[in-house]
Amino acid sequence: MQYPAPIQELVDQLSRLPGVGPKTAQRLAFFLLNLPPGEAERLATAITTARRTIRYCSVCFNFTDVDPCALCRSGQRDDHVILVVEQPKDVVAMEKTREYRGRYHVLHGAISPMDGIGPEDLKVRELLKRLADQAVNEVILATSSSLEGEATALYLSRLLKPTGIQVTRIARGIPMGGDLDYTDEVTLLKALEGRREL
Amino acid sequence: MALLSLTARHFRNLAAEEVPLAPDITLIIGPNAQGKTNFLEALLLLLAGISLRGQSDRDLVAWGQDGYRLQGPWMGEGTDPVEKDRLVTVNPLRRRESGPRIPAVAFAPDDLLLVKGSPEGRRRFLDEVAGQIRPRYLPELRRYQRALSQRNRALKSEAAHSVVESFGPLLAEAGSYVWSVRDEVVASLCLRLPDVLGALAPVDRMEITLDRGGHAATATATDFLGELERRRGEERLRGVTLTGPHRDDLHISVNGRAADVFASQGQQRSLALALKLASRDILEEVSGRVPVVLLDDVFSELDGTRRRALLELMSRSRQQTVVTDTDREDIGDMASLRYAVEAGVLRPVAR
Repeated sequence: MQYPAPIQELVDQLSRLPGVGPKTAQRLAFFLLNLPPGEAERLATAITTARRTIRYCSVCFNFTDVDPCALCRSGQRDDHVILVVEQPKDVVAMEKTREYRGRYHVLHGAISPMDGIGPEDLKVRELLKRLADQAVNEVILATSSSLEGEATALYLSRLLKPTGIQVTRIARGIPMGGDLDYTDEVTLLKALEGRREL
Repeated sequence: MALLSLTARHFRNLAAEEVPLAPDITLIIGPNAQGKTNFLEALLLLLAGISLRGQSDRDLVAWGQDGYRLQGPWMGEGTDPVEKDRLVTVNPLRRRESGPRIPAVAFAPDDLLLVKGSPEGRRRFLDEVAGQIRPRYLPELRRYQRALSQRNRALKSEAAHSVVESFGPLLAEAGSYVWSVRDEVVASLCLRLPDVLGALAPVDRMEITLDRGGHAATATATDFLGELERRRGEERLRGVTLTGPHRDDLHISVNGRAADVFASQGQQRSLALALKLASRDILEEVSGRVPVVLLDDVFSELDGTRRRALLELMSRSRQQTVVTDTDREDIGDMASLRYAVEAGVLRPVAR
């Protein structure tokens, strides 16, 4: 059976979302159609408002509605440390610790030649400019532990070597409260490599 | 130790019936394309979680079904059997396995081409053994292959040297691990070859060595990286990575001469069988379990002497064996259970 065109369009648009297949898109569409009109409109407004007002922060390239973003404007943060991540969601994860007091830089991806993504497609040039413009003592590379995240970290560490700025990589290893015998071998090996003197 | 029976549902053309298996030798007879190989494939997946012909789970589901299930009670050292279960659904692809991993070795006619065939076939043989003795091996091999694809693409697309270089250490790290385990597998095979070969073939001396891809002096990450640096210009020109396990080969020689050129066809088959049998012994030693042996239509490919030698080797060890063949001339009376297979249905037949 063919849906009326507006419903079909809604299903098609929803099924383009990540993790949403045709079945789920259909279910979501009917859920939306059964909502009181005001609620469905609130969702539509939320989407358009977010799209219209959110842009990249001109300093750290995190998503923001004011430029520079709240984290970059805050007077409580340490300007001398920059933590480099792949995605805006990584900033949120790091902020949850409530311990990190430095600044951020969001690359928006990782180097992946297979997907045609090179350093010029990431916010690398912008990072270099920041480092040239202000006094930074340490750059912490917190890209993911995927192959591409590791390659990006290696790339940046070599790129930054001539600047003389201290470059560090976050440690990988056993999760807190985790048992050794439940940890996979690769993680154990990395944890062993990153051991510290007590 | 044995799998007591196999029940396959929606797996290729196999009928959903419980098929009891003998603790020693089970024989399955039938013309081609009736389901003999499918039955062995199901056994290998259920026991060891590996595929016979490198096929993906999607291709194994019976036509028009959205998943398959394999089940069977495994009788270990204890008094009660443990249920082995492998449930696979496609769309989305999900696997659920329960019960212990049982080492298994499969022989198919293609394996007899191990000596004469492509280096790729010999690498796959080493990977099958390595993956069963070191749990970290296959994940590390996949990581290596991903690093390799990324680096090759960077070389081909003429990306900046600094981008190519950032995949080098990752390639070397995973690659040197792959090398070290392949070295270990080859060394273990060497130890066991004289024994199996003596029973199998009138060959004086068989030697195998791992020819590492490229010219790295040792299997270390340092030497790997050194080679990448040394051949930098050549790699740029050709657009591919020239050093690493993806170019390895297993060099096989008989009495000091290359077996793929100088050994007779019969000798080559004996050597291939010897390698497979030696790998079975390694799996047994490492896992402490006797591997189940699956022989797919191998007998028809062997001459009388080698057939007898293989049968002799099989009956000497007490492992569970499942054999398929198109006729049952000289194996028939060794098997405790015999089946005839037709259109996916296995029926017991009398001696």
